[in-house]
Amino acid sequence: MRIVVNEIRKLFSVKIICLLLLVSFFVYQQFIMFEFKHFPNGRPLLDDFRATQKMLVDYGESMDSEEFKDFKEIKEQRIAEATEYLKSQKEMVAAGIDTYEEFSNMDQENEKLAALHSKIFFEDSVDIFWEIQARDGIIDRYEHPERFNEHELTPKQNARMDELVENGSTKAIFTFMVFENYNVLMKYVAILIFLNIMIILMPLYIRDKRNHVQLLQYTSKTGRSLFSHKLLSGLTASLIIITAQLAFFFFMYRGNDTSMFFPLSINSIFNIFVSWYDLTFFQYIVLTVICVYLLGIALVLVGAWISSIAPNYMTSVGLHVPLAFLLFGTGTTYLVQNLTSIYLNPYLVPISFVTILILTSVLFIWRYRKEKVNNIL
Amino acid sequence: MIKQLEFKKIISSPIILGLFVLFLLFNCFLIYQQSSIRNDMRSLQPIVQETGTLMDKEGREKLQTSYEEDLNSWNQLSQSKTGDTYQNAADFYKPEIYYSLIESNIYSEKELQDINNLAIKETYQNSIKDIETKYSTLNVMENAEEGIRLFGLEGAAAEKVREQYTVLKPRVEELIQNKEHLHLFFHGKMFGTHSFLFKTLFGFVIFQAMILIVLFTAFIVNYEFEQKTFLVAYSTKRGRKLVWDKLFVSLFTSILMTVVLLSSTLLGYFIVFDYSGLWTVPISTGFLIEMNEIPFISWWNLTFLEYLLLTCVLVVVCQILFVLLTFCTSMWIRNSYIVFVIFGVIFSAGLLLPSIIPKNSTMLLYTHFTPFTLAMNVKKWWMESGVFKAFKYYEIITVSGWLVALLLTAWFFINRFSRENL
Repeated sequence: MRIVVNEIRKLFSVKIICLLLLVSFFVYQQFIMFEFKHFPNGRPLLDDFRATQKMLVDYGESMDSEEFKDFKEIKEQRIAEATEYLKSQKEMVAAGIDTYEEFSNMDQENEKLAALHSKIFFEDSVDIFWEIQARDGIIDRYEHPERFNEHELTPKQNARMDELVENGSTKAIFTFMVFENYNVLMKYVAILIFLNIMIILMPLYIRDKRNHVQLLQYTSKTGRSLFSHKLLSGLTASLIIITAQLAFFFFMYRGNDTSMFFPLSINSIFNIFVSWYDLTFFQYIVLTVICVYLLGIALVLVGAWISSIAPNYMTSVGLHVPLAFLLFGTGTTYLVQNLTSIYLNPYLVPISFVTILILTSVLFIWRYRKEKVNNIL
Repeated sequence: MIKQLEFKKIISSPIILGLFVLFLLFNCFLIYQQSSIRNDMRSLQPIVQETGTLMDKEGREKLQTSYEEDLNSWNQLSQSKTGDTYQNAADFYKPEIYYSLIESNIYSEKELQDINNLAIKETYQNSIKDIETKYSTLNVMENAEEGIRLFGLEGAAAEKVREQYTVLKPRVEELIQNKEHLHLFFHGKMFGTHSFLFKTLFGFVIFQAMILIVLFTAFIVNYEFEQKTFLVAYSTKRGRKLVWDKLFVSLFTSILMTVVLLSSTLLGYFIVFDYSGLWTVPISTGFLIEMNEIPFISWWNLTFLEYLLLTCVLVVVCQILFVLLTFCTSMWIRNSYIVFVIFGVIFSAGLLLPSIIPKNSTMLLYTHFTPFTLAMNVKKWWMESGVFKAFKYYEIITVSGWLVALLLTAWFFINRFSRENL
């Protein structure tokens, strides 16, 4: 145990911690902060988000037909308000546009009218007009749940779609913005975590090889068991990093203020994602976190293996290049994002994880056996 | 002799060779993925042979007559087959007719190819007018103002941008006068060749070469430290001079590697995509304009071949900058994998630098003069490329400035090293 603790301390040297902080800072600046600062990103997404929040407060988790009627009434009220606003604007009245009806049907080809239209939306950015647009979108989606069957689907996928409409999870007041935002964020956080693990595990075995202390270690019994002790410390160090990074991320994520969406089904008609399982948003988040942990463990095994076979840092970094390419691209797209998506095979995620973990463990165990009986030359 | 041995250290390392082959295969895969459009692209060459590339009044008339001839012969064929005639080739592809025609197998494979070529010819012909209107109404000062508004530039920075665009203005007039914009070239909206070649392929090559270069430069510079032989090596007079050999060899190998990687990738590209007859077309031609409708305005009247060669040269020079940067970092941090990470950090810091500069300072523009920003933007080298980089000699100033600075830094590190205690 003492060995493991000391090995972990060696991995977390001050220099490395500074490096990890530096890398994290730049990844956050380049890729992650944007999704925090600009959520929801511009209009009419902002208005859509506000309307959805109001729906949640007014109607609870889902909207039945009574509530939907009420929702439509609010829109009518807003249209009346918009008409009032138009009447109060001299230039609008002069152009003969004094009801919302006329405003929405107006001839955009006409330059003068188009200028007035963009004045309302972009220069004065009148909230009511944006809100009406957003509400229109929501009403349209609610009234046409059959959009689910736009794609050409297999019978199995179709059955799943029908099941969702039947059990009412499509009626949950969820929104695609929250889901998309989380998915993008999680992708970059996962990439950052993997990057950190790679950096910290790089010297795991190479350092001893470089300092030629393996000659000493391997002549004693304790020295021979160092190989597995080091793996254990690498694993612990990586778990610490994953946990710390995730904790920091979720601390920052609180600022997006999406907690009210946690208990809602992600299979809602207002989301663009359909899952094979009846998941709530919170369950989905937990699922992504588990996947990041599992991928992290697999990466530790591969990283340790690379560190044990590479004769120098150049080879080690070089081997990490294609690994990073695979992991950051395909790996995050299918094993951190789009989990349980109906457009992918339902067994893709479990099978991939089982294969990855088995393959990486076999790789490592094979190396471990060889290391045990290795000659000192 | 020592130089040869240092070179052998790099070349005989399986990881460098392995990555090199992997990168090459990946580039071939990219080209293969894109290759489905090669046949459609190839239909430009017969047109060019018939009319020449320049679409002035004369060329346009030739294109018009040849197009009408083709349409007539097509209409004769279609009349004999289905009794329909077409106003233009695009009508053939209207969904309500097209699918039933395809299903009933009226036209042979060859005939479908003919109408396809005709439709492409029609697109070229229709684009000429759009291009003319676009360039005759093109006002670069307006573009500058829009860019300034979009990025919220103020004060001195905005003034500087306006100043640069007034330099560009006579160039645009000259471009129109030379009729550079009216040369036939692969249609940008259909094929997007410029983006694929100069953004995707060149972009990947730059990063691939950079990865290799950072790896082996950091490796050979710190070789003695990793092998724990530096006490022996650097205790002699010759040993202290080893570092010059290392710098020389890493420069030489990087140039060699970049040239081989780039030339084999380009060779693959030009074997798959036929550019014959188009090498001397000006790069500023309006046909290259892609979906985003932004015209390509090069600062000089360059042909495609000249542009390609200049870009290749600049890629090599950029890699020299990266070697020097890696060399300096490795002389400072004696651990090759940390050098690799630090290089990445420096790279992203260089890209992030402009975002912390206030919007009214001209420093905001000058912080774009880094090899990092340069490497990210191959597609618009030697061209007007947005408000931040609207300087005529942007590329040349950037690389020469950094070259001098990095050479001095490298010289300083070598000097310090030659007097360092063991």
